[in-house]
Amino acid sequence: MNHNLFPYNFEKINSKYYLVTSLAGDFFFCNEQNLQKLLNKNIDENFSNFLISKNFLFGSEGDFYWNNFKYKILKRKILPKTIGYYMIVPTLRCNLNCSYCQVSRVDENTKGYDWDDEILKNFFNFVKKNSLSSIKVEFQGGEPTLRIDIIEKIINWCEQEKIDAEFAICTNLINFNKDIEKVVANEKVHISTSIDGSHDIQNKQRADDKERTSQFFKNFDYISNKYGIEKISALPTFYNFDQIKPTIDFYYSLGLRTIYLRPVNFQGFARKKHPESKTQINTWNEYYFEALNYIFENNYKNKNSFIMEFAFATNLRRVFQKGSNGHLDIRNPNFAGRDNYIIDFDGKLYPSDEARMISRIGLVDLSMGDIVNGPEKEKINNYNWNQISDVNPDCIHCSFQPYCGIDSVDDISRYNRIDLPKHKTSFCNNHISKFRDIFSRIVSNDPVNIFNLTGHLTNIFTLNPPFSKIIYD
Amino acid sequence: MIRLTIDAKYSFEIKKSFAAKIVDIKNYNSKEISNVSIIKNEKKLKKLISYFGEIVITDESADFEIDEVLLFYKDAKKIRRFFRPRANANAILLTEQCDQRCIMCSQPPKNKRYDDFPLFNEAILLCPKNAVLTITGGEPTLLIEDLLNFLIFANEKRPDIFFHILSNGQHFTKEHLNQLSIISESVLWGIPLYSHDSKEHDNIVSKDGAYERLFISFDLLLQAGSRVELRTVLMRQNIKSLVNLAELINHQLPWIEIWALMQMEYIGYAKMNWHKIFYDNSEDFSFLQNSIIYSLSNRINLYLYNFPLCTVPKKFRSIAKPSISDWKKKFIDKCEGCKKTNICAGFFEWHKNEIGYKNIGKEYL
Repeated sequence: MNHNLFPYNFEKINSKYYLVTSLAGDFFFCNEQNLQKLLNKNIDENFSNFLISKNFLFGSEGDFYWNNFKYKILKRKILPKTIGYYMIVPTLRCNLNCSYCQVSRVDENTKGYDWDDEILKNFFNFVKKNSLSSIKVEFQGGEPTLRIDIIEKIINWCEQEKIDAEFAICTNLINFNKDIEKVVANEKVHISTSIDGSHDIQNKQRADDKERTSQFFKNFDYISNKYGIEKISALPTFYNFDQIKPTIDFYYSLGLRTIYLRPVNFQGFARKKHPESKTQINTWNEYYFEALNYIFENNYKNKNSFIMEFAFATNLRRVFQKGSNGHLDIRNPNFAGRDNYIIDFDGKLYPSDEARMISRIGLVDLSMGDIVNGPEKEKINNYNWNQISDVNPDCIHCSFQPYCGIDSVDDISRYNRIDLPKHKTSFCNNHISKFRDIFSRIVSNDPVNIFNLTGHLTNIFTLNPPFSKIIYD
Repeated sequence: MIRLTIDAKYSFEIKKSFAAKIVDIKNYNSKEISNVSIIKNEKKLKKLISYFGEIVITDESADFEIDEVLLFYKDAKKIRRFFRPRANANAILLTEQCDQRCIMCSQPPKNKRYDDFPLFNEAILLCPKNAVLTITGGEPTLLIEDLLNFLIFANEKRPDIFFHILSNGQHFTKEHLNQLSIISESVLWGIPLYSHDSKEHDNIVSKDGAYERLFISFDLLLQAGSRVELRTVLMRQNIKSLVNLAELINHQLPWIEIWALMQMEYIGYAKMNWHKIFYDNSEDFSFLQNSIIYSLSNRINLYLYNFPLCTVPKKFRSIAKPSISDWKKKFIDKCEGCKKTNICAGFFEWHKNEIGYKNIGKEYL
């Protein structure tokens, strides 16, 4: 066979090894000597067989290896053609006032911030027109349970229309009355809530009212005892990074299976009250990797209780699992109006929750039409041209491009523009360090890492590795 | 065991083989009777009424279902049950000829063919909506031209019918690309690949060059957008290198829809070679676990076929499928009182306990 190499990039991972990734996302590690051989196309039979096994070589255009490579690229990029995911804001009103609220919620008693019957009716028509028989609906806010009646109507409608739907209610769990429980009892309904830490921290950062905080934990315990801990997922917000480890311990003690470690999002109220969140990504990541090690060691030591860190799992799946294109935070292309919509309290359509947030503070209007008049096709197309990393001069030279995503909204939010060189953006720095971390763990051959790599990919924690021979010496 | 051919006597002379469907006597209207209607007239049915005349069932155990499709052969005194709506699998045995001699073959090749495509054309038009039909052999693609024409016909007249075709993948050529594309959505090709190593694979199928020929077919199937279920029967011969096969699939065959890891049937060549080839996963699951974890990690859609649930560690039971067809499935003494039989593959009718799995039964669940 001729030695034609598919496009590849490389990157030094540690003192000994380079990572080599193909445009289709296959990868291996080698030392500098072998990297030189690759660069000079000085490839002996042994090396050639290795490269063929990893799909780095082809004989001629259109041969088996070529077609395979083409398939993998498509698989990594293709998005569903119908809308399978809706995030709905039935009300922007909330009964809490958190300093890092990302959506600039309004007071519980304000009028004019709820879905009306017209929006609901149009939502049903929209789903009928744009979705197949299976969807996911996430209820955001404000505090969506203030309008449990709307949530109930949507669930009933899906059942009536024989739509196989799953629902997540993102709630602060301060109020949990009979009407809410009636909805939550449905096995298709999940609860997503915020737990920043034990009682004191939760109280300080969220309710600022000891009684309400106690009420929250009472409600949490009630639901997890009655419906199982799988019913609830929780995520913390940190602005004191020393708080991370105690919070992780607290998550283990509650029996939660996942935690999403993320800094304060530079959105909404947080822009004024937590301005440091604009630039702190490198500091954050130092704490993040330490926290990850902490979780990994705990998982390895524990025989029965494991916690998955959501960001790590998501990024890792982008590396190993072709077609993991479901997370708006990290995918490429990241087109609007293809497989998801955020529908705000006023019926406006947004491509992501962050787009809703920066539109709300008046930085830019990223609404893409509304539920009554439908999507604005031209605006969506203009937006989408900047949501492809394959044409970005920085991204195309990056070893992590096959796995990474693109997010113009984050760039606009921080820099008021989308044309900053990517390597100067928070998004890029954040993900480069996260992928470097992933590949250092892969090449480490350390049992703690392997145990957790497998666990985060499959939900089964064992010492069997998710890869076979990946180092060419 | 459910019998798939039924003895019968005809009150008339069959001039030409034909297909017909059972309808309910309650819904019967004399004007509607046609050559495709057979009336089920009793609960325990002994007599069928057709357009041509009466058919007396001489088989004691026969019990037909409404909407069942039957084949009536010109020269035979037997009725073939072509499609049973309640069955978990319905298969057309096309031919018993084969160009491979797999050491674990459950149905060793014979020089016999059963293809009657004009009759199959008739029969599939009578099948219920969204019917699933397996086509098996021998090697069905020894008759590839006729087979593809039949599938094109089915795809045109009954696009709702889905075919699962078990083939060794040795006979696809460039000339078939167009036809394969047309039927790509409605056919799942079940194709065996036993090892990442060409010699090991060729040895198992007893045919030199089989592996290389197979990959020519894989390339064509990929180009045609065909759906493929890779099938790997586990044996002592290939279990140790199984994870290499997983890696090959991940890097070179990432487009396959399903990878099925299969336990053997104690029949045919497998019975002859049993002591040399049977791998008891109830004693050692480690090689399997390694390959399963690798595959799930890399999002290969992997299932275990023909594995009794109690021989599979708990955390992997969700991928063990009740894959054995109802007509050749059984449970054994050790299964008595087991609450999982409804989701368990069970055992093949010809399974022998003494030489099967060591660690089975409720205590391993």
